[in-house]
Amino acid sequence: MNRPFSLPARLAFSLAMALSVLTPVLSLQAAHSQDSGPFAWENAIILIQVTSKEYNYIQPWERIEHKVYKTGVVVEGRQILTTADGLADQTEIRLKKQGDGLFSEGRVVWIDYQANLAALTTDETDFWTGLQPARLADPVPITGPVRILRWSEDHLEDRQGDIERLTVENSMLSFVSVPALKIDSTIPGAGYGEAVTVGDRLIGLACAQGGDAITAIPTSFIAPILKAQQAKTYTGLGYFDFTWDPVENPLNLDYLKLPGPARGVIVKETGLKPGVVSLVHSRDVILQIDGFDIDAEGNYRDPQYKKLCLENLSSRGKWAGMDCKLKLWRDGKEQDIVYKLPKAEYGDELLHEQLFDQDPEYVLAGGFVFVPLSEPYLRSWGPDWRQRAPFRLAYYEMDKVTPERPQRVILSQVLPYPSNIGYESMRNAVVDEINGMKIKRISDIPTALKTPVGGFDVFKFESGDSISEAVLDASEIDDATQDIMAHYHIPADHVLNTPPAPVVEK
Amino acid sequence: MSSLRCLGICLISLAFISPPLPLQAVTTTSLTPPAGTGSTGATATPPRVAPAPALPGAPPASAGALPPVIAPAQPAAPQQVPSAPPLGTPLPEGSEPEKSVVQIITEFVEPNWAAPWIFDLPRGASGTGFLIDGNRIMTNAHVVAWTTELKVRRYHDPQLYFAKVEYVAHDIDLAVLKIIDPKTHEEDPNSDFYKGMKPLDFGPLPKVRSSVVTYGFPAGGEQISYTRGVVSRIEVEGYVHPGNRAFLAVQTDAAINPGNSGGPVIQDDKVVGVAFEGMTGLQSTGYFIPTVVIHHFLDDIKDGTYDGVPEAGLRMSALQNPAFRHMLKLPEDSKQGVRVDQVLDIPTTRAVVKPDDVVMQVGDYPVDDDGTITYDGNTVGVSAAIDLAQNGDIIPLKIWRDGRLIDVKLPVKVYNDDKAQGNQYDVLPPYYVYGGLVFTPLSLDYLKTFGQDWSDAAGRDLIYELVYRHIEDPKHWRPEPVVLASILDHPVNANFATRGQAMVDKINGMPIERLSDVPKAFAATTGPDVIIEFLPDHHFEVIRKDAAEKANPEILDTYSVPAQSRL
Repeated sequence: MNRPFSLPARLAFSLAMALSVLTPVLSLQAAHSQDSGPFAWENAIILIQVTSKEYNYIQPWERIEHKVYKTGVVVEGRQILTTADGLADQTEIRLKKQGDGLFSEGRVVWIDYQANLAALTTDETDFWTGLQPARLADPVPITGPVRILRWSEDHLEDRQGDIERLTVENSMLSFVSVPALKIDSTIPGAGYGEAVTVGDRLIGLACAQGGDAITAIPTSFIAPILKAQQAKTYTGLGYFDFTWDPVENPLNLDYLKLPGPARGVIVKETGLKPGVVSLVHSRDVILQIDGFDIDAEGNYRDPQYKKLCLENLSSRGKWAGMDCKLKLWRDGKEQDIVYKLPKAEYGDELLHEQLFDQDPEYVLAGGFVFVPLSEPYLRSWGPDWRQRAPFRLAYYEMDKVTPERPQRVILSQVLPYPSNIGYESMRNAVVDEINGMKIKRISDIPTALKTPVGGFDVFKFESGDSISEAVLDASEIDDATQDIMAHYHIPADHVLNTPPAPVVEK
Repeated sequence: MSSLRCLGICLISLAFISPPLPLQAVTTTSLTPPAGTGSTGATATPPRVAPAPALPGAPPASAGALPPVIAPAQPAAPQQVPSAPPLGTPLPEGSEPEKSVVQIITEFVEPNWAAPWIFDLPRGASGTGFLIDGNRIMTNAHVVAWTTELKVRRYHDPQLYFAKVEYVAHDIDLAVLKIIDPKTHEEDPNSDFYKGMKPLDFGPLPKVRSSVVTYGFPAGGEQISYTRGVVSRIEVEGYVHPGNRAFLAVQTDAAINPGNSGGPVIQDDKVVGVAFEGMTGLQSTGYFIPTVVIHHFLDDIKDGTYDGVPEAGLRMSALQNPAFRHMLKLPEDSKQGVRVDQVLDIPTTRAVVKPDDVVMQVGDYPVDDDGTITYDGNTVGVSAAIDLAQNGDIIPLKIWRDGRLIDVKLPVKVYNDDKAQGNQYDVLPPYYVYGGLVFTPLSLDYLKTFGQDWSDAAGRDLIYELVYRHIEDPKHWRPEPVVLASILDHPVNANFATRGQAMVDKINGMPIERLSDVPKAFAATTGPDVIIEFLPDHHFEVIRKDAAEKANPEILDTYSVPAQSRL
């Protein structure tokens, strides 16, 4: 998957573009009834410059500036539709239209990281002069040629592509399953909101690229969200909080006493949404969702797009909190249930997949650096972090959120100081308790440190790769922290996004 | 990213200062650790290799004990070598240790742990050995592992003599052989092999910086080779051959190459060690097993059985932080003692040692707060003192507990519960086949069948189960986790979606704690179907009992499986 388009990459890409033959922009124009005359894509495609903070999750007090360039498309309501990727932790958004060289200040109207969509706007009214909103195709074609458009060096770049198929896969920034258009194209460096068009219709926004394959978010998925956002009825994406197996072995269905030909899928794990009692049980057979028959491979026949994975039915014009009608086979008979779609949130997983729009949390105490264990932290080991990061930490990806452990906190490193001698090389130890208090989340640490045991701060860690206990002199810890902050140029001894838990008198 | 690499390395160096406990070994030394268990990159310590025999066309050893040196395809007639080449410091007059050094030529066959009735192609290799008292030839265990035939060639003698393993110690990588009569396969004490040969004597632990000479038959030639070096350091090191054990070892810059394995390291005309490991990626870094370990082996086998080096079952950590020492009420002027961090589930150990005990002395050896003792003038890990004990011995410990010094007696026994986490030898892997479903215990050897990147290919659940479960979640630990290793295709199992590499949870509701539970669970099935449940997600597969049992003979015949089970 591509990361946001950096400035150097963009320059290199622009050079490549200068050597290519551009398709005349006007050839795309079609007779289109708009306020300002015939529709032209150059009046709808916007260059977006995003400056954001990039964090170092190993040294969570550090950040650097990061700049990316994206593409957006003007839609009704003076909004610019784009992907959410690259907009997180932004400090400035600038918009440029029609390749005229001037930027306008932009801002986010709404952003949905789960769906990887966002709408921007600007308060500079002159910006909208001469722009035309694009029309979104719904349904979208699933074969045939497309044009992929973006601004490049103040010229509208127009590249050809061919739709390969429409499929269902994980959203770019989330675990939820969403539809995805797969397009063959040789366009370089795409995946940052480029407009995928057929004639005068927008059919998708490019969100990823692998080789010559572009992935785009189809407008059939975008349009209902846009409409619901504008109507303020959008509640976020929902998902099926259970896992399932296709049925390859018909004896498995015989065992579950399902008569007739093989059909449906067998539920494995349920209750993936923390705190919600799932109405679906392990070993239920999902036979129908919202009236669509589910085949033994886990697909349904979509009226527009033919065979698609059942996961698509969790977002097919439905949002979190809405009902799905499920027909199940359970305990030897059919049952109909109404399944309320739980809202997809990063906090549903023990290792949060993303930590957008928040400074990394940490607590510094006597040289001990505590951070929440998260995927952004583990991604510090690189894209192949599942192989390269400490095994035990990465394995927490398999664990679930529980009321007892909504988060895992780790001692990520020890900044050497005389009072923490002997612990200098401790790394990535999973915290169990501090001063007798179970550490459920990092905001518990300041509270726990207020009640030392006999003058000592006692840190206990999960067994595994780490030693199980460390002790610091509680009377020295505050002074040590101040000295360490000065020595290591750390601006604050903690950053917490939730207030510390109240102190409980022992 | 360099700091990240540093983090991982530091974690390793910190982790467990003393014990050659199962976890320590798996996470630190010889095995290729599960990716990310500690080391994170280019600065990682290079893997050790054991120099063992080399064979024509055999790929170079990439990890593991020094392979015994490759055997020449046709052993050439010995060349006349009037005397040992000059080595700088002359040996004592009349000393000719090389006359007691032999080349060991082996044929060996290793099993396939994923299809345990299948064996790899027979291969040959060669290593080195030397004559010791009792008409025994000492060498490394890895020279003789899985051997089907052993031949020995004396210095300057073209004749090959047949030998057999008398005792093998895979945990400390040592073995002794006996010359046999090839017709009877019985020991032949009157063999011509012994004519003119004098057993070599053992010397003490050599001093650091002193010179040593290795004798052996490494790759690169056919005659005996001598290399001189100095003793670089003496420490507790991982033994690659077992993979999950660490004992005292001596590092030298004398060249130790494939084929040197099992050869004597000589100082002052006496054997001071047995060459056994090298370090890939580093120059002039070889290791030999010191005589303290060798004597442990020879003492162990005096009763006719090799038991192994016992485990204390203690996981200890350095105790250098003043606050921690203060909290444990240790005397302020004391610099001794390591904290007991964890105690393995060994009842005899748990009866006398508790977490947060501070071990001040092991036997006669005071323990420093960094987890070391002074052993014969060398600073080495405290486990070296524990490793002096024989199976069943009682080690006197001085322990600081609750603010006072107490004496305890720690009985130690050989610990085998972690054998699956290490490399296993000479015992054929067990299996059970039912309807083409191949069940076998989860083991490191099984995981290694996934290839060089086995830690990536194996799946995190299997690695967690093998390495971490017993430490983190002992209540759910199974003594011998069982995997569905593979499926021998047949119509009776053709629809199985699970094709192998899956850990078995239950069969017809019966928890599978060990392989022997599998046939019991199938036999206990009364209905028409057998339901096999897998971990971690509890998915299941069903197979018809009658059809599976009817298909068994045909499947075994089709795939040339000699028996339905090896339990």
